[in-house]
Amino acid sequence: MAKLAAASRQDFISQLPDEILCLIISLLAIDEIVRTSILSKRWKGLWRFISTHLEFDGRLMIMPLAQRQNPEEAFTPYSQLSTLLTEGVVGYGKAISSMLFRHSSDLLSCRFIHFPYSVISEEVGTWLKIMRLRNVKHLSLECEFYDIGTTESFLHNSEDDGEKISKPNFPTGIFSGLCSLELIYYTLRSSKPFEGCQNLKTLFLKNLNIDDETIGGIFKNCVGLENVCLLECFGFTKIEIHNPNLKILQLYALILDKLVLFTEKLEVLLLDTVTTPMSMQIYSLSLSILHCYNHSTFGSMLALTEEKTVLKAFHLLGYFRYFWDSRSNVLQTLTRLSIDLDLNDAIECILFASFLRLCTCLQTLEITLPAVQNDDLVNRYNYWNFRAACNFVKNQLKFVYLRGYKDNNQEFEFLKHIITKGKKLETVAIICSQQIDKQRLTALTRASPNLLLKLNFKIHSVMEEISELQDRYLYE
Amino acid sequence: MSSSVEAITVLSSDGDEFKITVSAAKLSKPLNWMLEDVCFSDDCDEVPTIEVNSKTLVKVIEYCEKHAPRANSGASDSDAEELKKWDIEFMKMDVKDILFHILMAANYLHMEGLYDLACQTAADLMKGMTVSQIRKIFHIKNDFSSEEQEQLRRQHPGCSFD
Repeated sequence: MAKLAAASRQDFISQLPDEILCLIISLLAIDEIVRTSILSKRWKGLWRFISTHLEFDGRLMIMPLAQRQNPEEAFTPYSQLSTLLTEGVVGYGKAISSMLFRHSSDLLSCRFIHFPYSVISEEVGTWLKIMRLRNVKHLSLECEFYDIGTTESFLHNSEDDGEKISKPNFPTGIFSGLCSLELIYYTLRSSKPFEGCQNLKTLFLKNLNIDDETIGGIFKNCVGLENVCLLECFGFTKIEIHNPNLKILQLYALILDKLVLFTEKLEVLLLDTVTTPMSMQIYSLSLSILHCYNHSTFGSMLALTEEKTVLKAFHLLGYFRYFWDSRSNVLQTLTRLSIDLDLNDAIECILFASFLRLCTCLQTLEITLPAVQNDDLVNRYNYWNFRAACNFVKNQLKFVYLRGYKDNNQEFEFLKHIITKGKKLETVAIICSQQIDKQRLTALTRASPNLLLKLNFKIHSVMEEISELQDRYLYE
Repeated sequence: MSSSVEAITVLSSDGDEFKITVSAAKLSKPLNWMLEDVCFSDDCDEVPTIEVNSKTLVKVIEYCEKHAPRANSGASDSDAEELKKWDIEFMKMDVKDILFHILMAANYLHMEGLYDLACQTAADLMKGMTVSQIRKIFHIKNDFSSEEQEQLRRQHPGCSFD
């Protein structure tokens, strides 16, 4: 018994090899990682050999554990805590630099979340230079949107205060050598940092103020890009990508006048709340997945202030001849279509059906019904009831996912249409937020012997869906 | 290897015999290599030994059997969610002892999923804890002199040590 008690008091964790301990502590927040150094001699300086991932979150570094519970006070200018934190903001950038210098192995991936002060004092540039020395392949940089404490006093001398806060002076070619890059909350006015970025494969830009020339330059420099996501960026009006390697493109909440894609390997295109471009040309020989949504409230507000209309899925599909480059064979490559559509609106249905009829490979349909029903009754006549099934519905369609089903008559008629006519149907999943008449659906005569009819109740959460989608393509 | 074999027998480092289904054994690269090797053919009596103690091996096999169906077929999202819940329950084990044997075993058997899960569990135990709390949880003995400790504090400005 005594032996057993002694064994359970034994320090097992310290006996693990360095490699495993490093991996464990790399999963902690940066302040906690550094604190492991004073656990015992075994742990001292162990963090310097972390080779997987380091995350420098400025918000955690300047806040002692006890204060992390009460962040509101920290964000109130001139409060006692805030003044204290201002000192922290000024000091932590140097702390990061010195930590990076002490870190002594190659590093695969690194993420920084910092305050605008680090941009003004140009510490960010120093960190980036060290990142290159450490052969970092995956880098994420985020400027904290809300300033903590008060850094105003450091800005008084400068004339263009507002812009300088988030406008970093990245050195030329600093991002060369990276495989993936994430930039959040900056102002970019030059594409020079992207010089030599042939190896960059994944680019994620969020909340960037970026002009046409810079964004054009970025796409010109990064010829190896395969996965691009632009989220809530502004300041530009056109996107032109001539890139034979691009596979995935996601555009969220953007004001666009011109969208030109010469991307023959593009497989996935996602458009969420993008304004209808005046000119749009898409050339791809491999497009297999197309998403078109209007989920972003930010994007809708942006379009409203610019007095532009948001691109609707049925519009994109119904008038596809005007958008798609004539050499594209989207009708022969598309396998999955994922859109917002009001099945109660006959005009939307007509345009949608006219596109479906032409598809030869499409198998999966994902339709999201509007969360709020449009009261406009003009187009509320029955459409699906009187339609003869096209070849697509009869012989191709395999999977249907219908979100936000409310059991309205026209919605039901659509389901009836595909269930009674689709001979190849395998799954019909209906996600509804309210009680529906199940009997009516299950009583339908099924054309396909293998059909699985699934009914799920789930509250329609747009935010959840958006983040799920981003993750799906970004971390595949 | 003959295709009729559905489960194999292995020995733990303590010498106990364990049965593991072929599909579950495939989660581990070294075990998979063993499968492809001759040692499981019908005319061979030799039972291979795995350098993991019995108590740990029971857990490792339990994990493999649970995860095998999904790893081999690729199940739906709802199954993935359920599996995650199961993982959390599975990891509610005696901190001081078996978790670290599992870490070593997962490393030795090249089982990525279990290895990541165990590392995350260990990290979660440290998250939000003060230095003295972490020492207490893992029975780590503070072997610094007070001067050394003071020096360490100075070396890490901007980080709190409480």
